[in-house]
Amino acid sequence: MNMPRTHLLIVAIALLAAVVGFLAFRDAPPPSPVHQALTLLPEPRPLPSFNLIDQHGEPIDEQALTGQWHLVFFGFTHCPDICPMTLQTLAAVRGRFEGEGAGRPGVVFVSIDPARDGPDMLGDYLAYYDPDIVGITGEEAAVAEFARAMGVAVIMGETDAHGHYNVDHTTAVFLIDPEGRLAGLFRLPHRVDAMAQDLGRLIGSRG
Amino acid sequence: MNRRVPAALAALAALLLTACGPGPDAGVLIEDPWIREAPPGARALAGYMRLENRGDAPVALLLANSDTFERIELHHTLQVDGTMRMVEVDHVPLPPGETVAFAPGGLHLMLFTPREPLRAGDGVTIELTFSDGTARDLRFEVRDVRERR
Repeated sequence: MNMPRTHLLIVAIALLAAVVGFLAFRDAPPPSPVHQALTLLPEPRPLPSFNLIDQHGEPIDEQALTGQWHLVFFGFTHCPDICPMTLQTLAAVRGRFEGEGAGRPGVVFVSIDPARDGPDMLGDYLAYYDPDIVGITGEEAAVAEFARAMGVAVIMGETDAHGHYNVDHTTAVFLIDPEGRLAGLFRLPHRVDAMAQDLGRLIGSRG
Repeated sequence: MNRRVPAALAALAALLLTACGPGPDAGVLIEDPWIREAPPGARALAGYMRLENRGDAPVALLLANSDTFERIELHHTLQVDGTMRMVEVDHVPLPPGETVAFAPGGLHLMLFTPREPLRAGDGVTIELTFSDGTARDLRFEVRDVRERR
């Protein structure tokens, strides 16, 4: 079956993003011994700007990722295994910071499958894990551009006879600092205790 | 009356007994079958279990079917350079004496489009078909595995 042209384009963009991402992170130092799960960047770097919509259909841009720490994950709701595991983990990590006000990290889920993940779908899906999780979706090209700029590989699979397609994607969880900069990332495996401890130390050290 | 009919029936019964009731030392033991409860509206769920081949011969899991889902595929989640890939496999080998786990982050039954909403505590019957020609109906329990807050 032929892939639609947009899918080919997205594959090409994804491969480019994977290479750029690899080059960008290849020289990152090994994780500091005080962090079990977190890889901090040597210097925080600004987030790419984006104009997308949240699960309520409201416009959202990079300014929404300021004022507190945020954990950002790219995934899609038709993903039955890794995405639920990760959302569950992130909701649990956030749960460890209950009552800590602005010190409590926010969780952001960016759908890399906006064609199937409209705001309503995303809203119901995320509320199951935590109603405070921010969902981001939008125009396919704009979402793909944001993913590319973040170094997230997105590989759209072929549509099968049942109309289903899979989306392979980067599983890293990005850590955004309160200034809205990319501070580091959590690679697999994502474990609640290790992530919460690393975050607690980092947030504590930054006051 | 044709004397061959009872003989044929007996042979058929023997065959069915063999197929349905393997001895305690033979066959595939299936443990802890469960389905991850999914958010409302989710169109894809995952099923997990452990399969232990207690027989002497290799066997493979070939198919899974259920009236509760539009269709089921055997999937494997692979981590390749930090990217998650979901790959369909056409069978899962079960070597004799070994246990193969369908577990989060690895092998799973990919359950497409539930015909009814499934909530924690529900039971779902899934038929598993093996390469030795046997098929087993199994009750998968739907579980909510979110961390309680």
